[in-house]
Amino acid sequence: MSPETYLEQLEGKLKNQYDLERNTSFHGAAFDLQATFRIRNERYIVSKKAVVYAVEAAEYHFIRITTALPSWDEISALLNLFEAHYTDLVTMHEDHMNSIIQLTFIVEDIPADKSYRQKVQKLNKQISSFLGLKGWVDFGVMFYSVTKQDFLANRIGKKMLDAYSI
Amino acid sequence: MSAILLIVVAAALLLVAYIVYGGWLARRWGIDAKNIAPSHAKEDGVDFVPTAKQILIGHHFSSIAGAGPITGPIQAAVFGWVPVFLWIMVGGIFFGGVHDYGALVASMRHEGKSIGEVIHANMGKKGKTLFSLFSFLTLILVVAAFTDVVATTFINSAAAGISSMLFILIAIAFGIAVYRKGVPIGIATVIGLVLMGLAIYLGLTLQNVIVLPKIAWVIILIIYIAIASTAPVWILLQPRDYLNSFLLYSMIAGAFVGIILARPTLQLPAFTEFKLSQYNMLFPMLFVTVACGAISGFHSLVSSGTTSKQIDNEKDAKLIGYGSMLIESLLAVISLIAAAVLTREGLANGGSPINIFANGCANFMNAFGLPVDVGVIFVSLAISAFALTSLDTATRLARFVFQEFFSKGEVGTESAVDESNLLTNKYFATLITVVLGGGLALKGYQVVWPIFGSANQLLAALALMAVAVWLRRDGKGYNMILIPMAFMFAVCLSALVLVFMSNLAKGGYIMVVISAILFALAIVLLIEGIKIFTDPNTKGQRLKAQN
Repeated sequence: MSPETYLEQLEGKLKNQYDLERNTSFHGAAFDLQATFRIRNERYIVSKKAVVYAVEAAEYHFIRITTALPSWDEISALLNLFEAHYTDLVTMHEDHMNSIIQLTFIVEDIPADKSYRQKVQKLNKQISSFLGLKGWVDFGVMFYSVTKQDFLANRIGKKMLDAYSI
Repeated sequence: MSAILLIVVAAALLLVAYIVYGGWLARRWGIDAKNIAPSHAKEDGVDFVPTAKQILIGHHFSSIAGAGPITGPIQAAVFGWVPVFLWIMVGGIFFGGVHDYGALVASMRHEGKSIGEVIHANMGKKGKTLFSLFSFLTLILVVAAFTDVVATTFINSAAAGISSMLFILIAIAFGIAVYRKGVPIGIATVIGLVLMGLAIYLGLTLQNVIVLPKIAWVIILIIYIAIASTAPVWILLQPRDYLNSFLLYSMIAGAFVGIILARPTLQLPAFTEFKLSQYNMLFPMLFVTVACGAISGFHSLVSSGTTSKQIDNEKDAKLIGYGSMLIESLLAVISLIAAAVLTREGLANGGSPINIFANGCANFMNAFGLPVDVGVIFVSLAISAFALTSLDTATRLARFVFQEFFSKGEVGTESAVDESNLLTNKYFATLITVVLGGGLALKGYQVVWPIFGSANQLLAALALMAVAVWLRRDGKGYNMILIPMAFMFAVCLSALVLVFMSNLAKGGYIMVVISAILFALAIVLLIEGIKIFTDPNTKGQRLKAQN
């Protein structure tokens, strides 16, 4: 399966739960697909206005097809870009629990270099607000090989794997 | 008489009722597995999410279960165990079960709308204002009653108090570990349960070292609920309830098996007297004291808003709506047995209802080797945690009602934010709630419970009326609702009169005022409800879909 075909199938899978947008950019960084998922759980009594508590969570997936593996410096630069401008996507408020900003690279083969792989797997980036009382933002990174159906991801990226399985 | 007979008869009756009466209700209301439930028709992954019945019954039961089925039957046992048992059976099968199941079905048939939304939608502005005042007073009473029950439990069992405070810390650590640090939930659960065992051990070890007076516990609990009701749910409420569900289910199972093995004998008289004192009579006080095990207003309001949107198939509603209520009735019977194995003097001197329940269950569970002192703390911890959940929920709601009363816009939206108006501030509203509730708590739960019970049962009566309205609109039979509804109104109004008179006689003027206000509100709401119910334009006409 080619990456483009995979992306089309992925779109078909995600369209019921995610808001999708093709060929987007985020502060100059281009992506082939952006998928956004938001969920708000409320518990209320008597009326929907009487909210006992509410919890919001969200996922922001930025997916790029790439033939050449990005260097670790390029990955870091992208993560720093999202870290600097995350407020364009996420509003931290008292009902916000957590959001995930996920960078996914669709590749032919996942990186083989051991130190590169370790850097990806050990990546742990998080921003919190008011010691987490207004929630936090986790950053996920994943390389997904459509030919070998294999992946390389950090802890957060691994949690998102189900969304990418066709 | 052996308690085994009581528990086996109760379990058998409830099972037969589930099959026979529950089946009759399902046929009467046209439950059909082929009907498409709102969870499928309106599936959106947000509100409407089909959920397996095994998961949903757990969610639903934990929403409705609290300290009510424990404290009510034990307090009412002063009338003798027979009247309490009969009320639990009759109430659970024909009143509470119908009430919960009916609310769920009515909600499912109306696109998942809650009973409260119908009340809200059909009342005029006057009705809504009065309902808000009624709700706020009732919630303050909940805070007062449950705070005092828990504080009394902790002064009678310092070990339970210490363990409960440690449990709160464990729950916070669990929340941080699972949600912030990504610890797998299976591992965190095992560690959490081990730490809870350690908390019980430390409670036993330090019970003679850390001994606090009641006022200190009331203050600690007030501070706790002020923080718990404003903190994000993931950090305390959710992990606490998750860990506590293990305690609850194992406690129910352990107590049931313990009764079978221990074969305790009932020592309490089957019936004492109809009139214990001038203002404490079996009718109506039994029926407002025993609420959650028989019928409780809060059930329909808590359950209809969420459960109806998740039911996968209409036929699951019987298990979830009717079945959950019957399980709660079984829990109420276990509570009654814990009281009935004591003599009248033992019951009077046994401490708070939670203490009595904990001691009773611990003695039952000793039959399969669990040390009594460990069992007491284990059970006290489980019930106190549920009481704290009710406190948290009641405080959040009371704060909401307070804020809404003084807000121009809808609470939670920008239009409601008015930084110059202290009365709409979340933290100020919380402060008012906990101070009023805490102050009333010092009066003692025995004083507050009858009036809280009356208000809660009045909610049940109003909810039954709403269910009847819904069924009437739907063209379905609703005669099975009318007798419970009329009975509950009669019970609540007469109970409020007795509470008024008894507090007037002893100079309890705060309770006099509260009971008078509740009585007046009840009459007005009853009149408003009757107008809606008897409106000929509403028969056989479904509500139009609303956004």
